[in-house]
Amino acid sequence: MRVSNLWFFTKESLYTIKDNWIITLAGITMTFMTMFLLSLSIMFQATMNRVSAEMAKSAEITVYLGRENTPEMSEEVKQQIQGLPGVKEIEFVSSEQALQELEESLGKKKMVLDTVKRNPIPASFRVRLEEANQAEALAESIAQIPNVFDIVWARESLGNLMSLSGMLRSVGFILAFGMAIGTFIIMTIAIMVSINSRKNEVRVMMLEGASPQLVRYPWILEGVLYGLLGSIPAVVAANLVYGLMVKKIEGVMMFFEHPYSSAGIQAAYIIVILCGILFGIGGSLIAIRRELNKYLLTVTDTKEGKARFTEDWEPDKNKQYE
Amino acid sequence: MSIIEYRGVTKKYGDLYALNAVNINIRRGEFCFLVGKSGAGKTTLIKTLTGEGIIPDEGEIYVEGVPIHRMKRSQIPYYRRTLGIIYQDYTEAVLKSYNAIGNVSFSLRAIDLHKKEIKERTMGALELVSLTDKAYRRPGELSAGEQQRLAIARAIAKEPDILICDEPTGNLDPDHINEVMSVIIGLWEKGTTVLFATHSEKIVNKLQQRVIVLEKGRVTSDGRGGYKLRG
Repeated sequence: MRVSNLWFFTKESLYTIKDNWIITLAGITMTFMTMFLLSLSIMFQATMNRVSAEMAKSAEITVYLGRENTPEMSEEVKQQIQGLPGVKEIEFVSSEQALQELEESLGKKKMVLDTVKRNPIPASFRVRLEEANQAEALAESIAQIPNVFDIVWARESLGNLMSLSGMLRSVGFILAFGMAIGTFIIMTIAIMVSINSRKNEVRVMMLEGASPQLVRYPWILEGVLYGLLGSIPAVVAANLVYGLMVKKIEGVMMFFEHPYSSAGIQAAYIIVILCGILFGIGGSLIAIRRELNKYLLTVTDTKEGKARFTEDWEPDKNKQYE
Repeated sequence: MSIIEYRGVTKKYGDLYALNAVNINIRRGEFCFLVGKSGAGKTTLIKTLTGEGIIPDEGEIYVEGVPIHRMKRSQIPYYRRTLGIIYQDYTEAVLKSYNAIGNVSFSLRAIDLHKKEIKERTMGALELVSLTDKAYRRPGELSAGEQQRLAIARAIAKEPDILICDEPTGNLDPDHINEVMSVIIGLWEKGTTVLFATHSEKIVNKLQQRVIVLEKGRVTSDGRGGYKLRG
């Protein structure tokens, strides 16, 4: 196919976008909304991964040892904890050191400790984690180790954050999936309307001997265009919104290292744009199958819509049909 | 050698025979009228030839030796490029949003010709149908005869070997009929094979060429000369 002719039919097809601008706008808007939501969901996921990692840095499990533990028994506990997956480092805190830290943290209120006759804090291990979401599983494993008196960890804050993050992520993806179906339908309708508005041209093309590929091509391109016009602004908008979100997070977590410019996020943007294009192509193919083939059949096939041209005939090799 | 050959072609719609064991041989360069009353089977015969969705129940159709009745669907567009087809309803054949040049060049782009060739053939076809001076007018600004001539220009711009006309003068007044007929006869005189379906005795008798008469799907007469519509 010559480029000049392809370009001509492309332009002709694009004029129909102008003529059917309401349905076109609906298709592009739906694509925008879906891709915006998808982009935000991906970025939210990336952010939560970072937040989780940040919290994991400070997240620790305090493992209290029994008072009657001998140093050998404590060493045995340490060895077992170090052998568990997800443990980043382990630090021994004697009961004296723990009391001193408590006094420092109480400041002026440390006088409350004067009423206590002996050091109430047993020796412990401070276990730092590789990832915050491993805390619960690790705490359960440590609790099984003999000679461990008690364990304390930030069950509430970490656990809740993780479950909230998981829930929001699921809601985001479910919403994006639902909207994706809607987008698909609207895109298909938009292209069907476009085909209908040019049915006379299609008929003439077929009668004069245009190949079905040439007849179909402009509408596939139209679908690609819908995808691009919807997804590129969606990615830009999501990026802006995410920028604002990052500022809020940085206000709470001063040293939060956001994934704003990470290679992963850049790749996600490209995937979202590709998703938009694929949606467009998918919508076009369905529309073509439902609407354009109807015209192709009217012209080239039986009235019943079933081809009866047998496949066993080979064209005369000496005759030039193409 | 026959350019178009029908061998025992039958097409039925329920119990009704649209074509009943039709045998026709048309030689290259012939002007052949296909006549008969409405419902005689003229349009069915033409549609079996143009690949417009009517496939014979029985029999064989050959165009330049190629079995059209067994042609693959993917080959039809390329086969169509060798045919020029003119219909009775020119209003459906012309594209209202394009001017005369656009109408002719649109179909040449569809068959993927080179830009220079499109231009040359478009202007040549418009000249043949005497529409050069109205090349930039849209169909709405042309008379009925001119619109049909534009449809002919589009059909002949492909430089077809065979021109198939399905009652092209059916919707025209006498003046416009003369316009259109002179163009078609001009093409025939240059060597194009013409299959011309009509129910107009006047046109047939004036030209005195080969006449194939169809009645209830059967060929009841095939010879040179005039024609008188019976019944």
